[in-house]
Amino acid sequence: MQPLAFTLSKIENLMHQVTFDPLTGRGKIITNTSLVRKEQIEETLAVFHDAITSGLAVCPLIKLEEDGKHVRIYTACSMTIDGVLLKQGIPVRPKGGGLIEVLDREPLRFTDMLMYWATTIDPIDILIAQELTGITGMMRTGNGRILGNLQEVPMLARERIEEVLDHLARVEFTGVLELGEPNMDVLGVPVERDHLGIALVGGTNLAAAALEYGIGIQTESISGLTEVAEMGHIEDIVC
Amino acid sequence: MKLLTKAHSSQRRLIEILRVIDEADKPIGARAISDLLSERGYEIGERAVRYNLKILDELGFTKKHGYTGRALTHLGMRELSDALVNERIGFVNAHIEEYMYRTTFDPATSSGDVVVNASLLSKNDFEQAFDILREVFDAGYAVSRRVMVLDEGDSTLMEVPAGCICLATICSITMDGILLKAGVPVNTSFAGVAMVRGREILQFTDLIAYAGSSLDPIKAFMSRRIARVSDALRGGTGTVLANVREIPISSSELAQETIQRARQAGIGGLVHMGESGITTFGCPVGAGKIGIAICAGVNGPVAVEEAGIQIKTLPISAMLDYSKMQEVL
Repeated sequence: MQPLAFTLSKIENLMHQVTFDPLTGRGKIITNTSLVRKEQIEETLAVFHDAITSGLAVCPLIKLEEDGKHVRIYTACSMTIDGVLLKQGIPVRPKGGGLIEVLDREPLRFTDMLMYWATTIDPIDILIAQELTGITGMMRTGNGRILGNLQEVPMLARERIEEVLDHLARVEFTGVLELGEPNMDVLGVPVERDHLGIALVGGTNLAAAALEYGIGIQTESISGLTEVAEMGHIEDIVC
Repeated sequence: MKLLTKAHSSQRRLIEILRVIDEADKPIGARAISDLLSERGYEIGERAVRYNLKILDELGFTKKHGYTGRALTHLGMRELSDALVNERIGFVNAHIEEYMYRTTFDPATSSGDVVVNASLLSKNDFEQAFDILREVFDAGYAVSRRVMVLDEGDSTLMEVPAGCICLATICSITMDGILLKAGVPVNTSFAGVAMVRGREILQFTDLIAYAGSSLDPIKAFMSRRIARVSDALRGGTGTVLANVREIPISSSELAQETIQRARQAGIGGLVHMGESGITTFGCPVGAGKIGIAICAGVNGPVAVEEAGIQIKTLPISAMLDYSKMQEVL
């Protein structure tokens, strides 16, 4: 019998297929997929818009696709940033996904975490089911619990990483919660020797916020690749 | 305020004090806290404990009860479950080890302590729930037919509120305890969702390693409602929760005999021992090891929940004397 594939290998498989170039703004990115009933799409997009403007998304790009009585929504997954770093020759290792406590709009610490090597289900999908998130609370008051993840890179690559993250930010790919100092904990989680940690905001916060609002949304994170040219800016879609 | 603003070493010390207070069943004073800390390897004198308690009071994590006792506040409990995430990744393994060590069940005499899961449900659902449990036990998708029912007001396992009953089912970790006591080095590695048909495991469809999560994997699967135990009853294909432990190849004969003896004493259910050097139904197994897959004891309560009955289950929650538990016939 074939051994099961764990989340880490699924992520690496998709990272390898990322072709997005922050300088040209073209190529494929990793996306999460959400499915909602047609009559709820307006409400869903309103929540997504709010969450994106609160800084809870990787980028403001979104793609809609009709599917019978449902609409499928594609949004950027934070693993896109790992993919872009990889394509710039930086050995980036996704470590795990977790829940991040936010106080006064500042990410404070991870309060739960699942390592990518350890699970076949995306940690974020597991954490959503625990009903421990407090994303809408964070949007309204600046305090709450959001989804995020942690990756490690060699400290040697620091300057190059800052440069790439800068290029990404210029095309509205943000979502970096914390870029750690070499060998120092990132949001309470230690890194390996001579590495630094990068905490990213999980793209699934959008779907989790919709769930908290009572919208019946089905979501699958890190589910595939989407061409950026097929996506539109949330501001152009919600008006 | 959060502990995180403090240096790591003082965070550890403060958290350890919170843990000691949490584990005491009533408010506890500085002297007793100091003694209990010393058992855990923290040599902190009574005066120093008092100083730390003052800090914890100021942070709002502890509160004075009576003249000298301290108890945790709601905030303190929350801090205990939120702080130092890195030390909580894999904590379930330590919890399992503790319960394996406490297992005293002896298959030869059918007596001794076993590990149980505790479920809470309404009295009104009692009969329907038992019919479902019986079906799960008949199909072999649980660890044992023995249960204990505790009435409202009882506090053996937890405070049972009025109108509710507490149901204790035997947890699969009992088997790890039995193997350990027989001299087999066991390492409970993965919890998973297994596809089953007619008392046979076909393959795992999802897995979470105990060592890589700050959440109990079985609890994580339960809240995702990922299993379909009721589909597996009456000979159909369905999915149940199960877990895998690794043992060295050289222990396989001893393990087989031990499992057989436990089974004769009523503890077993669907147990499958893998072959050496290959995965167990798709679950990775280390080199030189054999995987043993066992259906989780919580499959009974999971099937009850699938029938639409409200039930709250805490896996691996206590030890009970096997001879005091009753068989569901």
